[in-house]
Amino acid sequence: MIEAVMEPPAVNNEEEGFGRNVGQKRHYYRVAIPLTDLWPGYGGSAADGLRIEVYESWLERI
Amino acid sequence: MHSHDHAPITVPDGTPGYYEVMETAIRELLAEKGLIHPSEIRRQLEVLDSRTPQLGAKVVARAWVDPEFRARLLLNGRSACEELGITFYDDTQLIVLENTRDVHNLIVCTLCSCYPRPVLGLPPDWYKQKPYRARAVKEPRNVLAEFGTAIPEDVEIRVSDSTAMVRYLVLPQRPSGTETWSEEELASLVTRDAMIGVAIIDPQERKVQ
Repeated sequence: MIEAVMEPPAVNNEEEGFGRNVGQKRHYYRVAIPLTDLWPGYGGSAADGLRIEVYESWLERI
Repeated sequence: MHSHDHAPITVPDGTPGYYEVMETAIRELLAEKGLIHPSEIRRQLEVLDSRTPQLGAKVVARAWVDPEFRARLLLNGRSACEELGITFYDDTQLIVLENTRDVHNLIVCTLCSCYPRPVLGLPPDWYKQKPYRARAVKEPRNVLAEFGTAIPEDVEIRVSDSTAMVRYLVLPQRPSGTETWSEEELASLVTRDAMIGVAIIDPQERKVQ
């Protein structure tokens, strides 16, 4: 689940690191993932979750 | 009377490592090309070393006593800290995560050691080491228990992994029984570990001044 869009947009490090794509910027998204979805057999509460920033190029619209 | 031992300060000998050589080469090149003056690097290290968890504690105490500041802090951590004179020397944003009766926040950087340095200073060693980084996202309740922190099952644990653009700071719950305390007294309660989320604040364990 997308919880927030991080502003401002940021450079694409994966391209930038190779000298490509100079200056192109896209967003990071703060994504919420239940820990029970990530780890089979997770021992804690079903409500426990992870929040992580994922760069736009790794996400697709569903 | 002092209690530290007198083990000699050891300097690693032998050939410098790959990253050490690369850091020196890049630093010297930048200076040689006139892009950065060595005094700027020295100054930046001085700034980094000047930051301590007392800054974060000041932010937390203000948020506890001033609801309007608290609202601004939760909306934009960076600009609210800047109101208190805490400067940010990099491009990172700060998200402040509020602990409540229903939610307990924990921060980690699984990739490396991202940490809210402008408000907390340098991270503790365990924060940078792999066991914490790997386990905080996989079994946070066990990690917390090892820190002596028991979070009830009906409280949601929210682990924030600060690997990219954003740094996180936990706003701990204000302990009950502190209603009459001054802002300074409250700040003295707030510990580094509580602002990482591995501890909760216990007024009985007031920090040794």
